Amino acid sequence: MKIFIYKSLIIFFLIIIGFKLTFTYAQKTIERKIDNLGSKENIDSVKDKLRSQINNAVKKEDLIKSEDAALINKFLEKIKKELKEDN
Amino acid sequence: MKSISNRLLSNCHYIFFSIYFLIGFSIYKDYGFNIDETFQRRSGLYWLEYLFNFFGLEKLSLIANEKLLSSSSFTEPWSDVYGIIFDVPAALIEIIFSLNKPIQMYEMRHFLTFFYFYIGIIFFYKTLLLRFNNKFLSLAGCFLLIFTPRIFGDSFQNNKDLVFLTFFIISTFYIFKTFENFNIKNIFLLAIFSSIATSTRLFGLIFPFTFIFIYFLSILSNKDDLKNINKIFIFIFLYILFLLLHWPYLWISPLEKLSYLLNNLQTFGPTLVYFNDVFYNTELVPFHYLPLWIFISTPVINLILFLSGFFLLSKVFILKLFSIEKSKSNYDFWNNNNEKKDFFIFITFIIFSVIGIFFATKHYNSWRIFYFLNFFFIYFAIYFLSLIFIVPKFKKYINILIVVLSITSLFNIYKIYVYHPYQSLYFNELLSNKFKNKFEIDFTGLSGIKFLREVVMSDKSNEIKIGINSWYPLWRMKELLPEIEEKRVVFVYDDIKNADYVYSNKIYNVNVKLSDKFSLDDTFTLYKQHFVDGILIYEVHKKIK
Repeated sequence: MKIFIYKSLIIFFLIIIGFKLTFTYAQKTIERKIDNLGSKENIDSVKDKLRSQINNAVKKEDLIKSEDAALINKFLEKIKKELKEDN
Repeated sequence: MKSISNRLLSNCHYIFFSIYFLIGFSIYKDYGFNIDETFQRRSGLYWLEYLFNFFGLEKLSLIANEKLLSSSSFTEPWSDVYGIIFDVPAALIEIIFSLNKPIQMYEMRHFLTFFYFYIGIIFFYKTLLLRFNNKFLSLAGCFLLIFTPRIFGDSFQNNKDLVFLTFFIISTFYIFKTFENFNIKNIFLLAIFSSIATSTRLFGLIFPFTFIFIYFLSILSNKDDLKNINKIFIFIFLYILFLLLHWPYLWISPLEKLSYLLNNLQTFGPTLVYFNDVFYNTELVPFHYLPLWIFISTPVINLILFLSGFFLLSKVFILKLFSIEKSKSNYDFWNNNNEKKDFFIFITFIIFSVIGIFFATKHYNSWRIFYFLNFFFIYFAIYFLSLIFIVPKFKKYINILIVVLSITSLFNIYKIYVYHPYQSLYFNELLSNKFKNKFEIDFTGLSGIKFLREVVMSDKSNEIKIGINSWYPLWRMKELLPEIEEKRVVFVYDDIKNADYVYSNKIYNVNVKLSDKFSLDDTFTLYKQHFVDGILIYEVHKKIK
């Protein structure tokens, strides 16, 4: 009987440690990533990066290349035309 | 001549404790002020007023209330859940001796913290003596514990964790006494001190649980022990009774309040911690948080002795576990009371390690909440030393060991001297200076008062505008300056651009790697950085005129 109790106690202890080292470890890692991603500082930092990229773009003489501009123009004309046809 | 030296040897413990007391008494005023102290002072005054009211002492209650109201401006936020064993006597001393200046109040609290720990060290000596029956080993244990730098520094200003360590030691002493003599007197004292340990920190709950667990194991091995079951019930009754009696927080709806406390542990403390160059949510720190902190901030000699002792003791109990069926002893895990004490220490240490690594709801402020683990480190260290002294084949190494221990102990004392009065921020020699600064350092703001004293000394302007560029209520320390100097200091709070000096202890409540909340513009220049042993304690920027 007592051997059974000792074995049960040890197995119980090992299961808890095993659970913590696998499941809880993974859970904590994911929670930490989500926590970092959603943190105010991270959101602010992304906003700042975005602002700086837009600023850089505004400073450039040509925002887009002439051949890209022509392509986008054609694409928009095509969409306009199709929208008119549908109506 | 021989009789004098014999006398000196037989009284060496008195000499040791007298010298230690003199050292403490001569340096307790050197220490900075811990931000939690204002919080704890208010808790003491609150419960003192409550107790005076409860016992119908109206005049005293009015005095306590007056003090409580005067403390409100620099002691928020606070909570009423804390035990009263330190804070109420401190508040009572403040009233009895009419300590009205903040500096007097806080210096008294520092001395009282030291005094509690001093009592704890005496019990530590008695605990080791009870187990190892050797005066020199017991003194060596006290020496190692006292001169563990973080413990040494905190024994003058940490009135929570070091007070808990004290009652932890005293409770362990009475557990050992109870193992030796299972009588009502020892059970009574064990119940008192373990209940006080519990109200100081909930970790004290370990005592009733392990005590009962060990009794359960003894019944499994030897049914005759069932005759003592009435004493176990007496212990449980007394433990609960003393817990309720001395902890006023539990006087109304005790079960609900205890359950609230256990379920809301995560509400205490900060939400962000800087650990190994990364900012973590305090509830999501990695499992290696506690082991790494222990590894980097415990003296190397303590670590080596502890690991050796722990390894040898683990071996003993694992071998016992595998030979239970063949064992002819009365008990499966111990043959005598000393082995029973070792088993208690071993089991309790394993439980605390598992709790600390895997189950702690939060980790912050380095590992101060777990500083009581130093008790185990030193116990295992002395266990290892005792084997070397006892086992004949090791006796030839004793002289070498004494020389090594003396040199390393002197080195610890040297480090305590170098860090003074910042021993609480100690890192061991295993780390480079660069690595040391990847952890939070002055988390209790010990350096705040030093900065204020220096700035009022060096700047003689009528008004000194001070800004704070970290998450630290430096303004609480203003009251600790002499009145004339206090009037010259003005805190600019949110208007940091108008500050003359900007102080930072580098503790933040946001991830400063991503946020610019604590960045300063170029109208400020670096004025001073205070380093101790390669660690940056605080820095000051000055406005360019």
